Amino acid sequence: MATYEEEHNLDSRTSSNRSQANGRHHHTLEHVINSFLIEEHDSQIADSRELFTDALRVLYNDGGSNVVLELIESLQDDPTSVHGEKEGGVPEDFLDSLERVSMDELTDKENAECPICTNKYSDDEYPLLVRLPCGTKSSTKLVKGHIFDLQCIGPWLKVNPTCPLCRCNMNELKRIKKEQLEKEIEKYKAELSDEEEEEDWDVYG
Amino acid sequence: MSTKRIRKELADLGRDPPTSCSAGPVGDDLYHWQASIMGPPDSPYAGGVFFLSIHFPTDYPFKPPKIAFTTKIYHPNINGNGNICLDILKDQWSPALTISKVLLSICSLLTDANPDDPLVPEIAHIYKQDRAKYEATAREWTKKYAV
Repeated sequence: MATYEEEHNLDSRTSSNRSQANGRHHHTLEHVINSFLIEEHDSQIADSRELFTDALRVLYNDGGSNVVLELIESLQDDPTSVHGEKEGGVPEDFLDSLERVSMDELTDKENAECPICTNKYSDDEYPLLVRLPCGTKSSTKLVKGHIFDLQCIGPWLKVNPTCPLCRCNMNELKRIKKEQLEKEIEKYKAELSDEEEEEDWDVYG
Repeated sequence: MSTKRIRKELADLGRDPPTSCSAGPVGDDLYHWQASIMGPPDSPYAGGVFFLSIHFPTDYPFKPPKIAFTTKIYHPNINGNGNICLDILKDQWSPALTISKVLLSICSLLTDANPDDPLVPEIAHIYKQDRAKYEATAREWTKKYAV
């Protein structure tokens, strides 16, 4: 019988090497926090878009061509623009961070289907299902997130950060998570400084 | 993926058709459909049959289908070209929506217009100021163009 590695045309040697490298080597806490705080990718796109729009404006003021004006407008209308309500999709690493779901977790294994392609998961020999972190907001009651094929939800989230079923905004969730994390850090820092003060008292008291 | 998904929607529409709506390809082109909506009984469009054209983008369902009325209709959210002002056809589109669900939404838009987000401000103004006049004109247009 073909192994998983053979079916997916993977070199079992390299994949085990990789898992060894990744498995044992944990990122530092700083690394993890930074990945939350820094969104270099988005800001770079926004910067270059602004730069280009400015250049076009200069061109328009010089020559006054309508074509240039249209170009400026189309740039501002761009659906993937980071400005405005939708602010583009999720960052690349968000997709990698999604929780994987095994077929055994599904309530109706035989008939469960992806809401996007509407194909049954069971039709796929090696389905790759992920669960979005929807419903983890404190205001809503705790429900488990919605499940999709990774290959369907991936392209959607890259341009639109919302869950197709409940419209829960993934970037919004991330912001909430970030705030919680920052609060935790503040609390931890405060506790640390309290301890230091206590130690100081020990010395002088 | 779009072809397979559109075929599945077509099969689902055949197996379990929504009440008061129908839809299907115009010719051999799977990406170009025609749909019809019966005017809701509790609206001034009652008795009329309204036709719509549906164009699927190649990246459907990641982008919304383009839907427009081909039958003339007097409505604050539908203009003279048949364009429909409906959030789920624009920025509120979701790949989990289907043609069947969208047609049902258009049906409820016929019953409950949204005059605060109008596509035709003149009709919206009459809708808000003089509902009887709006209903009379809508009934008249239905009789003239959709029966």
